[in-house]
Amino acid sequence: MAFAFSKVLVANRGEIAVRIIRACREAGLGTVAVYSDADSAAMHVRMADEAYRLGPAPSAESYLSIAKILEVARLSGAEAVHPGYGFLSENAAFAEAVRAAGLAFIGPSPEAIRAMGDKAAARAAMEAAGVPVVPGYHGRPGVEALGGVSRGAPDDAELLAAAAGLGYPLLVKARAGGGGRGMRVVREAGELPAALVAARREALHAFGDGSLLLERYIARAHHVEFQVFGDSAGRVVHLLERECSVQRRHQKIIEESPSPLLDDGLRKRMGDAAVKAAKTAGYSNAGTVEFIVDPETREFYFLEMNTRLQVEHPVTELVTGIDLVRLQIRVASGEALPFAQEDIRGRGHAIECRLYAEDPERGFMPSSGPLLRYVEPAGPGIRVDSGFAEGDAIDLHYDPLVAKISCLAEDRQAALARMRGALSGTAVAGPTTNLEFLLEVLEAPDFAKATMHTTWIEENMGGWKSKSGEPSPELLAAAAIILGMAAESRDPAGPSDPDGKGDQRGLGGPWSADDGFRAGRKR
Amino acid sequence: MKRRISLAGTEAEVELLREGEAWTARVGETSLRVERIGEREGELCLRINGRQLQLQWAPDEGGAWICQGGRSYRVEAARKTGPRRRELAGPGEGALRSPMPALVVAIEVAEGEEVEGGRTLIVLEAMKMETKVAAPAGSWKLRRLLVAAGQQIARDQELLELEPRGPSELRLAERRPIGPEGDD
Repeated sequence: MAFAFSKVLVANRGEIAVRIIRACREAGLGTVAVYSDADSAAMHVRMADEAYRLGPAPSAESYLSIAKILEVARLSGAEAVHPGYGFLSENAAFAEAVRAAGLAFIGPSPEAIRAMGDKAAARAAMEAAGVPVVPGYHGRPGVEALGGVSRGAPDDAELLAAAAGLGYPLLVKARAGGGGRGMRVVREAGELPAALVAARREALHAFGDGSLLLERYIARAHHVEFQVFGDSAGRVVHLLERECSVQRRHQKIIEESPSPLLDDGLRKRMGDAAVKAAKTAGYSNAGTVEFIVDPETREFYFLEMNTRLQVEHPVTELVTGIDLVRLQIRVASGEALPFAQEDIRGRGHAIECRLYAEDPERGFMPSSGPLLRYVEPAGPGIRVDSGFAEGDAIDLHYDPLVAKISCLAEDRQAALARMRGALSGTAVAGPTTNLEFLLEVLEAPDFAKATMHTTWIEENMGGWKSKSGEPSPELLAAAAIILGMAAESRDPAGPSDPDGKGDQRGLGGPWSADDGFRAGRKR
Repeated sequence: MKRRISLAGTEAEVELLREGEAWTARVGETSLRVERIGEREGELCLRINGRQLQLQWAPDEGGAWICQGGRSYRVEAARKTGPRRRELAGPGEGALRSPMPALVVAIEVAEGEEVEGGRTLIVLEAMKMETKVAAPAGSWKLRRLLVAAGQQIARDQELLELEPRGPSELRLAERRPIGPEGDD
């Protein structure tokens, strides 16, 4: 297959850069990686055909530098840019600059990114198109023309007045926001002024725009999103939904498709609304229309549209059998969508778990350091998207996602059993991860009943403690043996004295020379 | 031979006795027969009282990591003296340090200000997350600010210096390194 370009610059890092490089390679396209000083030997760099340094570790000086990335495109002769997710993926100025440099942007138009990136303008556009939006306040009617992000944004006095009319609880959101940043749940009027200050500061810092809007907070809502895809001829289809209600700190950790909440009727209505939303934005390439669904009333509301490939795209790929990144490349190359809405059929049930280097016992604080031991799960129906190999380090400068572990099985129950097996077969030594936490969430009766909602984790898993502090006698015996093997591996020459307390023999002692554990080992 | 080990913070005495090709392990009151099934780099499979246990492991500086069934455990020789605490001393006495490389987003105190434990002093951001650095339990006076908003800081970099104000039962040196709390 011939494309309009032959070499793709992947403006990202970690698992998504690896994912895109693989798709480019399958399509016969050359690949250009970029990296910061923290990533000079990272997996995405090792895999690409060429790799170029952007700058120091902080994102602002590397992966967020439009000028440096365009300079690499020029030097390498790349003809297209894939932004991945995060970083510059939803930055309209970047898409514009890529286009102005005569390169293809593998994603939507800058106009569509801009229109959907302004949450207030997006709300207004959806309202006008007849797509239901969460009751809320984003400024006086008429001021939210598309573009010009801050124009017409309400001030605190206006928001306080609007809040009184909307009632509580409320959600304060950043108009330019995403990923839960600049977002605050406000339970009562007294909390609002402080929440506005904090959200404004966070939004200003994260997005360079402190504009805020208010939405009614729908408790125990489900988060259901539709994958959409448009081509340059204006055709738009959806590729079914993803249920993403299992979240911590407003960030998803487990996603699945299909959503257990939807029946065919609701799926059809939401899918139609998603396509209408994308068409309203003049959308081409891959995008996601997010909805919240009230499980009581089964009413759904437009939340926002993400104008990029989503982290959780594998579950859609697994149930539809469509390679979304390959399709992104084809559509960016000018091809028409190779299928119609009625061709899209889901098959089986897919679940994805995000393995993060973070500490669930300490507010999900990021963890870092080298992966001393890293074993990915394997087996029928299991897929792993990872940007790291054993020996690589998780760096605190970036998102702490280690890998996405996904599986496909014929139904939800089978997929759940498969996922439990996959997580149990995963091993990470070094950084603290959420692996054990994920396993416990999957074992919750509410998960089996599919009644998880967006605040389920904070309501049900608060004060969670790892059970590693209650080891079995079997594990303690094994640990004593392994401690001896570890001492030996540090000091193969002979018995060691690991704690320097003057013991005659270290832990390597009983296992050395004549002992069977050592005899089988290669040195 | 007997050993005290510490596994994920749990201390236990484990005795290993060789019996031909197998071992008897005594853990507290429990006696276990341990056989080796197989071993390769980073992986060990044992049969313990007839049940097989597949373990992934890696050595580190002073001990080892063990992964089994989705859990990870750090194991080391139990210390003969109690756990050592990190002492803050010298010019940095009373200094709060950054738990990670981060960007200083906001400073919410001024030099000379008196603060109570739990009060947010500095807001940091790393890995797309805001983290609050709060005053430790007790009453304090902010002696010196060592960073500014917008500044990129390193892990363990000193952020500010506190001095105890009035009777404070907890001395800073006795507290664990500050842990940021979630923001959202």
